[in-house]
Amino acid sequence: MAIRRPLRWDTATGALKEMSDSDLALLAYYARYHWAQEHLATYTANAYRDGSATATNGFGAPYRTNSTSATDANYTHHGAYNDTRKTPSTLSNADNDEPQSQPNAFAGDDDDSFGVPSEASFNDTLATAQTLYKETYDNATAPSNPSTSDHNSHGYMIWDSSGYVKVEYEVANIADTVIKLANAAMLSGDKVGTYYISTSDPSEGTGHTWSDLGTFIEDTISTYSFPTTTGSSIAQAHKLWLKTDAPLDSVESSVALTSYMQWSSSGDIGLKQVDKGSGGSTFSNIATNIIIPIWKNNSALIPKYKFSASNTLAGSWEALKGTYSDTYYDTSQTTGPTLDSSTYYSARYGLATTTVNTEYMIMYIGSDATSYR
Amino acid sequence: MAEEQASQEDAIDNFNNKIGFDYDTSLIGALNKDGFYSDPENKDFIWPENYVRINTARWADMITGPNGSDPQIFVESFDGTHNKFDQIPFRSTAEEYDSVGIPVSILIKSFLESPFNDIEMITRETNRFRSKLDEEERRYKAFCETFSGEEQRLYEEWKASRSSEGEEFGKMDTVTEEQVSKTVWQILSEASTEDLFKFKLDIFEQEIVQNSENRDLRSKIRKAKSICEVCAAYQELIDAETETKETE
Repeated sequence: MAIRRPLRWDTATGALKEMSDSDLALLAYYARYHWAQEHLATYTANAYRDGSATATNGFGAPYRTNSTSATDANYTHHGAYNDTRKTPSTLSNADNDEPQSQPNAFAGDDDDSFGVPSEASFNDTLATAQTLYKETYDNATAPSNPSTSDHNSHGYMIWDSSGYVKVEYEVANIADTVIKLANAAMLSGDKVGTYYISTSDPSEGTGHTWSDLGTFIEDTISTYSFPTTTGSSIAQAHKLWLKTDAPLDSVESSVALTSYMQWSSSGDIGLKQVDKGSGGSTFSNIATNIIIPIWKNNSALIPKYKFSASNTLAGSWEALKGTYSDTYYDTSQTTGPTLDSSTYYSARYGLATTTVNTEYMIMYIGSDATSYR
Repeated sequence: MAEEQASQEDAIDNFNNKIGFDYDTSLIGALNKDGFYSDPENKDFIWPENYVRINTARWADMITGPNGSDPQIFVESFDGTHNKFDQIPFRSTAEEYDSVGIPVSILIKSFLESPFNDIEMITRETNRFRSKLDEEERRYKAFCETFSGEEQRLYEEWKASRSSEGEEFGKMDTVTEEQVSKTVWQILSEASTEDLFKFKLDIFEQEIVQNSENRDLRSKIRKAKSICEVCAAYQELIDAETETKETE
């Protein structure tokens, strides 16, 4: 449709003025901020969706699941991911010294000279230790678009080309004006409102907040401890992160959080500057009552996630959002035989790691470059 | 979260200690102040904000190294509070990370600015780490070449007897002036059980004894009750081996 900028009061000129690009960037930032806050509240530990999360919240979000199929029709299941590893092998042999009456003085030690586990005893043990599943919440029914009443109460005024100042009721215009701007920042800007997979906090520095949603893909590796203890440890916990805040930099300082104009139909009827709120509630009314419902109603504008063995992107409407892989020891080493408490022990366990099944999480918004501006 | 970090920290320390892998302090500086920095009560040591010291980096895939389609690296680091172990994709500039949508996190920024941001350096660290792992196998092979179940048993017996006597195992011997000035006779006649055992081990390490197939004489050395008996049996074995060689 069209970009129609909200009107705001310009104190310098004492007149109504359309929001500048930086004003709109700020409004789009808070739309993403509240989008992220809503998503954040849908998680429980280790990136699972909270069973009591509101059904209309968390659109497009990736979740971990224990099921081999989608939880229900609201989800897209993304298949299995195997965490594999090889198992160390151990041998033991009692130091059962034979009587000295044996004709050979070293006869008693014949059974002490046993070897170490064969290479095959380690190399052939590659097996799936655990299978992990993931799904995305991208088929749920969207909430209703904002009603006229919602627009009147929480929306903004625009200058109409036909010569009127009026409340913006056109959802497509709001999408073009604010949501596509938010999408651009999600794809290549400050990324607030998007997910990322990483073993460490992806924070770029002060003011950048990535919320830790827990382990999304767990990669374990085999371990060995003398004499016969074999097990595993977590080689890497590939965590899911959600960016929930970023420093506003010049946007914040240059526009001083300029608010928009709204029609007030009660009390002193007329045009009024909206109370924009402060801190975490800044612009929350317009974000949660107008922008986010419109966002959810347009499938082509919702940031969604998929998983691929390739990091090739289809176009500028896609962005890589982290990677994970499965690590295991591919070659082995030996130790022993070592005598301990009258028993000889030897073992074969991991040496050099290899990584396999590298996968990428890819965010996509629509299927062409019209999903952002 | 704190428990998780502490657990990871322990795992890193334990594993590195186990294989004897040390960080290259000529690259990363001294580590002896880390404890002061991680102590929240110590106000004299304040770790720089948004700084992570990269301790080492190695290829996640030690086999393909930098030649994989999207090489990943394992990074061990210290953030002023904890030692951490992470996996990140390898790129050599912030622009390269940014171009593929990877946030240039504090960890990545620190890696880029570290001496480990170099393919050869990562390969060196990988090889250094791997060689420590390999040493276990090398130790085993070396052990196999000299392994004698009998000697091992003697050692275990000796160790057990030391423990049962309440002596401190591994206590370093101190050579006193008195010992240095002792005559050979005094040394031979005053030798303790421990001295006798050590002497036997030394004898068993001699090439001629190791290569000897004369089990009777080897057994005689093992069963000797004094230094003199050991010497006598040793000489007997030398004579026998010499004779065998001459006959051949």
